[in-house]
Amino acid sequence: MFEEKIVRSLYKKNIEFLNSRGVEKNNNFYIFFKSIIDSTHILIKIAYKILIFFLIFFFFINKILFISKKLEFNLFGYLINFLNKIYFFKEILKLIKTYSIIYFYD
Amino acid sequence: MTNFINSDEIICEYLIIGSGAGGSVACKHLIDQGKNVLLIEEGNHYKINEFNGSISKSFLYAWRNSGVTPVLSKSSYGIGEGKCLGGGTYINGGLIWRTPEIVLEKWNKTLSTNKFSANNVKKYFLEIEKNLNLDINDDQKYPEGNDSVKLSEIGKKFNIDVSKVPKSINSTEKLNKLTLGSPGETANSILQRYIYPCMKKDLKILTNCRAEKLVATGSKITSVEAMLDNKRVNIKADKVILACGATQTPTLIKNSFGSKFLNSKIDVHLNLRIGVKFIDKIKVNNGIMFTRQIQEYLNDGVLIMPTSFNKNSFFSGLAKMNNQDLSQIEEKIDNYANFVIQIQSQNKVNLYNFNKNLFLTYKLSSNDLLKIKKYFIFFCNALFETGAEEIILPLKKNYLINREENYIDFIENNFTPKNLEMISVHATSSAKMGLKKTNQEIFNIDGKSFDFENLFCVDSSILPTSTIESPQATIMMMSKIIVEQI
Repeated sequence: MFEEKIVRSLYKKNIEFLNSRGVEKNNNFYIFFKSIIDSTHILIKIAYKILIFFLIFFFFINKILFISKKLEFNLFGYLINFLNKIYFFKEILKLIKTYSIIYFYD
Repeated sequence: MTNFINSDEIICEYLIIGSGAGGSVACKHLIDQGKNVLLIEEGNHYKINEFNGSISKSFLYAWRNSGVTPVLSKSSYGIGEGKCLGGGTYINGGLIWRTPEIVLEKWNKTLSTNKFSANNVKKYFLEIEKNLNLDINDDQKYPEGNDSVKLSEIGKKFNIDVSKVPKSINSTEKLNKLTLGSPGETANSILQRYIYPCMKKDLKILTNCRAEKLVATGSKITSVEAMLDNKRVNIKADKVILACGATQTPTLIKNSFGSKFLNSKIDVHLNLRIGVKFIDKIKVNNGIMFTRQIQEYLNDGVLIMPTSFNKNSFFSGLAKMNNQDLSQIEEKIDNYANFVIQIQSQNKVNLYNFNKNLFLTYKLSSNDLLKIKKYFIFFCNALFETGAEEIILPLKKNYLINREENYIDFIENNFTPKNLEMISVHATSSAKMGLKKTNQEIFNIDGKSFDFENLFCVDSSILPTSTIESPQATIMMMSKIIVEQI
């Protein structure tokens, strides 16, 4: 449940401001991206699992603290910007953004 | 494609493992000779235009590892390979360059032969060019892409060689919108011209069939263990021809005979992409794709060319940018073009196998870094002189430069191994031919194994060095030479 929410949130963040055609395919991106991860290289799989584990912890804390959805998305944005400064997370987040863009424009 | 299988043991005269440029040519030659041939391919069969221009679907289904195999390196670096019927030629083929003479001379010298002289290989290229319906003369109905026109301008202004590109991509209908140079959308691909005609004759094909291990008894390969749709099968063949590509051929050999048998090092071209914003609208989508290439620096192992332009391929290379900047680029997309500087790397990619997983490592040499800097300084200057306003460099940080900036200092300071972003699609020479058996050269100059009398290799891994140019035609030529002698 959390994983799907995380991937959807990442996709939403990755295509923010690009929505010039008014097209949103948020619902299906998770299915597409899960298929990508299933057939990708083991190193990318490991990096993805660590990222998801970290972000599940974030969403779990939010649930406990009853944080509103809007605030949660904003906090998620700050957290992703922070993780982008850490080399390990930066590469996997860039890869997810690349797939988001490719999927969005297809 | 499996209706001829009755048990978990298959017997054939010739077994070809892999269906890319090398495997397809070997198939056609043997089938034309009336031989009994079985072709196995790890990926699936996708028809011409199966993905209808969708990059996300082609990444998911037709590329190995969903598009990119990561290479452990200080730089951000990955290798792209095909995993489908047609192999790499289905996803990223179509430029049919003859092997440069400087490369052939090097091969002949290293291998003490005249076998690969330009004169001797000419007839093979003529046949390939005819079969693939090579097109070098532009269709008069459509204009050249303005990205190629810019290269022509650079050629005239700096008095350098800008050549027309010989390609088997029928791009006139889709102009500059083909996805990643994919001939999988075209009618004159390997699939159409080599594999389908063989299927009409008597070629047997197993797709979704991965060769796991070569089983040897003495000096002969007696069978090949493979997984067909998750079911183990045993294939017995009189002759086994490896054509799985530069990462999979050495992987199969290492899985079969151990890591000490082959110390695989892959030759690569480093592709560095450059996004360029021009002052005027250039609308590259309205012209025919990559018709020109800067060839002046071929002897230095460097090529400069435009690359296919559509929003998703262009923006996918810009994932490092924030979304507001991407949005601004989107608004001015008609002013942008995409180019690639391709450099023959001095250092090689190391290939390791661990628990059946493939790991690649690479270290950029200081000579290659100097070369990259030198040609970026040249090309940035040339672009600014021909109307570029802003350039997006293949760097993780500090990637934007404009015409007012001191780009020489900028490139000197920011082009570091840690800051570079690169990709390779032309991996070669990972199990190469040589004069005698070493732990890197395991096939002789006829493509035959030094250790096993019925094992041959016809893919890019056997090439003595990388080709500087796109290697498709070279692999096809080499495959034909080898298979003629089997």
